[in-house]
Amino acid sequence: MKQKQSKGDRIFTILNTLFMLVLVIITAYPMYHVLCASFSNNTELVANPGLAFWPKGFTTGAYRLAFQHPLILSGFKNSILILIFALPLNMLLTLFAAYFMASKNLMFKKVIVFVMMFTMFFGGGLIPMYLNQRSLGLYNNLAALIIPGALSMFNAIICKTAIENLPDSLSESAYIDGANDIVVLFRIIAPLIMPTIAVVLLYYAVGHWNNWFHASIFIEDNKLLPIQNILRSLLIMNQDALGGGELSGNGDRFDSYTETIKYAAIIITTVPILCIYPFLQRFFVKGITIGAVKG
Amino acid sequence: MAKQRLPKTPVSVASIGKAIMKDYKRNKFKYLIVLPVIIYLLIFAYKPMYGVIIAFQHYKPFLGIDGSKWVGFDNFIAFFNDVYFFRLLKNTFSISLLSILFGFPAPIFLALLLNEIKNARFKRVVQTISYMPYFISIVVVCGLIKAFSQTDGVFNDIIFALGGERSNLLSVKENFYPIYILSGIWQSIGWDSIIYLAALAGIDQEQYEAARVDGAGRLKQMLYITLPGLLPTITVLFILRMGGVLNVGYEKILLLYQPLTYEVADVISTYVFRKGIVEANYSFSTAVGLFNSVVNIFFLMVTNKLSKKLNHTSLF
Amino acid sequence: MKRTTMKRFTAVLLCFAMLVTMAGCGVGKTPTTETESTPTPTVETGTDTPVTEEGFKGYPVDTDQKLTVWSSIMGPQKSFTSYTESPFHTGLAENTGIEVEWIFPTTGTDPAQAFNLMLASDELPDIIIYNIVNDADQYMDEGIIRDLTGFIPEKAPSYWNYLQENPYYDKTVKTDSGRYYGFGCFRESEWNAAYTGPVIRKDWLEECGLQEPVTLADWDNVIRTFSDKYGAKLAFAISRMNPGLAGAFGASGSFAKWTDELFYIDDSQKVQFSMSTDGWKEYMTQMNAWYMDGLIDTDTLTIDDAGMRTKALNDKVGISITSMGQMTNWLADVESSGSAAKWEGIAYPVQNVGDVVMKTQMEDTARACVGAVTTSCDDEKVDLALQWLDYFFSEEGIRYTNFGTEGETYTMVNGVPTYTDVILKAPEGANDALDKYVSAQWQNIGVQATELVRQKNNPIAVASVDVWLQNQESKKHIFPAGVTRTTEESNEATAIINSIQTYVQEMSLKFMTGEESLDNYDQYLVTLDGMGLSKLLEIQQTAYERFLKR
Repeated sequence: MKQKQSKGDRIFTILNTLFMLVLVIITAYPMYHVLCASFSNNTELVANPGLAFWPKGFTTGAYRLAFQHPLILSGFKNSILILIFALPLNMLLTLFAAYFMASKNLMFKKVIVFVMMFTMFFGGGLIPMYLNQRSLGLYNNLAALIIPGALSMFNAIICKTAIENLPDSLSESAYIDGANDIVVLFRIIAPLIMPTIAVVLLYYAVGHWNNWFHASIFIEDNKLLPIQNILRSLLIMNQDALGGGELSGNGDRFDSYTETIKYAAIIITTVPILCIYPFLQRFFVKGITIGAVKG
Repeated sequence: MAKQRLPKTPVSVASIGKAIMKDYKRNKFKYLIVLPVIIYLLIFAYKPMYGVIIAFQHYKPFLGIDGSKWVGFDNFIAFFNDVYFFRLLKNTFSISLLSILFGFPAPIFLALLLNEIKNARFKRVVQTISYMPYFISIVVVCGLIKAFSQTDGVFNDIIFALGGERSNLLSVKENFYPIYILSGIWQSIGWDSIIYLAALAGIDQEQYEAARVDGAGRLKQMLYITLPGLLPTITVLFILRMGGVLNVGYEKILLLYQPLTYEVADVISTYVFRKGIVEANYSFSTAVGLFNSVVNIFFLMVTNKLSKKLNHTSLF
Repeated sequence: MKRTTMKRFTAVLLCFAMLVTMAGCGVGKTPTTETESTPTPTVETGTDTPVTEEGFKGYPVDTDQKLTVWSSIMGPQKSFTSYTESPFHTGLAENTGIEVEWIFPTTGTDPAQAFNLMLASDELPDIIIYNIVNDADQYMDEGIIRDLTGFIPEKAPSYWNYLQENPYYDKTVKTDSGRYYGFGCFRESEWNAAYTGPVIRKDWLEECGLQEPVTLADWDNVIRTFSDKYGAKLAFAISRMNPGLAGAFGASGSFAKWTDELFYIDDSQKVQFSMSTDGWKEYMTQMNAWYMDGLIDTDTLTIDDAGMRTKALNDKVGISITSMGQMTNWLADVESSGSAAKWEGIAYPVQNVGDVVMKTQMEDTARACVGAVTTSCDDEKVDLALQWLDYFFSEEGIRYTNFGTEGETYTMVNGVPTYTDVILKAPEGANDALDKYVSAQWQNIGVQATELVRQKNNPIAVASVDVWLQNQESKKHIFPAGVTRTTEESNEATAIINSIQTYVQEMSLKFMTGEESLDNYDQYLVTLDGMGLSKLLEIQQTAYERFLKR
């Protein structure tokens, strides 16, 4: 719909576009920096750790070395398996919780919502969580990384907010047609909050992808570790700021790829999850025409 | 929230029973739906909650909760009496509130502006790129910040070009908050705006049409239609954010601070982390965690209440 | 003299033990015996399998029993997904004849956390290898590890002999009450324990016509000259300044976070807090003077090893303090960038020619890790566990853990095991290659040979360590790693140490940068005292004295 723009609107558009360009530059740059660094020669990278616009002495050595790491491939496999099994479960529980929290005229709603929300702010701590999971057999297997993280109340609240924004008339007319709540949830509500579901899926996916902590306590076998744990071991090797001192004693390790391999590892582990976003992005297209449904 | 009131008098077992039956009949599917959630939470959230007991013990992993020594409030007292307690509290609040003040509105701002971009492809590119920094490991981000802040680093090149003087930026305590918060915004602005972009998709397009007919400009539309449309999401996220006011992660601070900036940068989580290195003191960290929870819940409640009063949206 | 007495005593004990066993033989082998539920550390218990009859016949041991070992160290080299692929671990099983199921914290996992969760889970392995030296008493009292006091002399003869020959190590692996709790991680000499010191650009030195700096005045001159001529200031990673130049001032202590540099032993056997002495104040005064003159690189305050490497490569530093491993990095960078830089190690500075440096960087030769036998290890399996642990102290075991297999990873040259090209010319570098075949490279149960460290490192870096070890008396000032505190002492001390540490780090840098005037040094001391410093020193002193009496 072409419309005549006022002068103010035009200035606004120009400024806005400029702002976006600046934003793109400063946010894209670091990723580009990492990319350049990963293809750089280690010595030259060490010599100039600052701004880089192209790889310093192009080499793919760091990637070759990273893929030689015996756990990179199994790490990928595990991370992907976790996503495949976890995401449906996440979405199901989240929608259940959100739908309940968004419904009205329930006698026990207050109590149950309290029971659900309370878990966001109080936890038993590491050791009871560990013992609990071990006693359930959720130890040293991938299920240990899938089931315990099946529901995030934060995400449920986001969905709840989206559901509450829908007009009540939708579900009411469905009830009149004889539908029960399960049908209403999956047939009517879920399609209408698709943008929010897409976001929540992204949140869960990235959450699983980036989570290394659970695997570090519940996995005993290196071959079952997800990719982030492998990345972490590459990144914090020799990083005394996090480890609290030099453990190695007689000087530390010398490695001709120490710096570049870190960057290569970041690229390797990040690119797959970045690819998810464009797929979900189409759900954010403006106006899944709630108005039409309303009318 | 409209609630169906139960008749106040007479309160008899029979009438309550009746009400329950009625509620069950009408809402049984709703309860059925929430049942798996409740079971899940009971097993994975409530069952391990007994673990907070160790905050009142001198917990030894091998002896377990049953066998460890009971010390009452010693862990709490040790924390409150620590010479650094007030400094830690002050720093934690400062960093957290400054992050909220600047970091919370930033993605909203970005989402609003992105919404005004009419070229779909350009918009998509901006969106995709702006959320990339979120995926760079904090270890690497801090490595870059450190390299850039050195006397011959990029930041100093810029300062020098603008006529300023070179200095080691990270060793000056006045610089710590700006560096910490700006880098935080830079890293998460795109990612955090995603939720608002999704919420924007839910705004009724007819309203814009109507506004345009009334002759409202872009800015006006943004202020009077888009922003109110985002308000429920903003409110909920804000309340949740306030409910995490004491949760300032240790990892980034640990990587960026150094003795000269401890005075402003040392926070509760880094303090607990350092204690953890000296001895695996689970009791102490649980006690501090409990303290954090109480403070967080207090802030959550207050924000929730205020929000309920001011704009009639609330978490519960 | 003392040793012979000890040996004689042991011999008597052994004879006695044998008599008892023979006497009890008929009864002892029937299954109905009242087996002791908890093995008391008496000599009798240790004689279930008499040395004379079916005793140890050398490795490999003939057994089908398996051991489980939880260990935070000695993991497989990083290119192996599990120990079953690692030549060192499979070779070890072959040599000892004992099959071991190893459990390591997974890669990238915090070992302390893994250790505590393992304890919490109640599923103990037979042997744990971890930093338990400082809490050994508690671990025994809680029933996690066994008291090995009576067992070692017979069941682990190599280890016993080693301890007899090295009384200092003997002290480290027993508690104040004299109980032996485990098999230690030792270094052959202090050469292995010193790996940090001053380095200099020799080529610049020559260019400027200067001599190698010896005294602090020489240093001052060199720093000023380098600063004027090359714009290169005194720069270092704070973490490498332990104790840095403090030794020249009769002080010991660091800006950094290492706990072991917080205390030292003075000439009258008193435990001192490093950062509250007069020497420390003088040191701070000198650093402050250099800082005020713009001779200390301000990046020093935030820089880490990676940053220092960049500075070294970019000719931004000419004199520094760093580690042998970092120096190797610098030298490699010089080579691959074709730079003209010539890095060399120089001695720690002194006040006047002829002075002795009080403290240079040197760790304790005994490390905080030990291998201990847990209470989950059955009574019948204890012998096997001890035999396995003893292997690391046998002649062949020490050879294997340091050099690998003869003819493959090393050959004998003039009576010295010398690495072959499998190690020294390995495409992945000597460190990574060594990790495949030996365990002594970092920390391991047993003894790390000095030859190992010398042969694998860059010769220039090795020569530097030789230089750093001259003219110092660090060894007698080290606060021993084996000192233990009681639970109560420990609770009190850790709380004090924690806040004091933060405070001294902050103040040291403030004194150096002038943000806090050194005129306020007395006020600083008062504050330290208010934080419980004297109480802390008292605790450390008693703990140290108990250590000496062991």
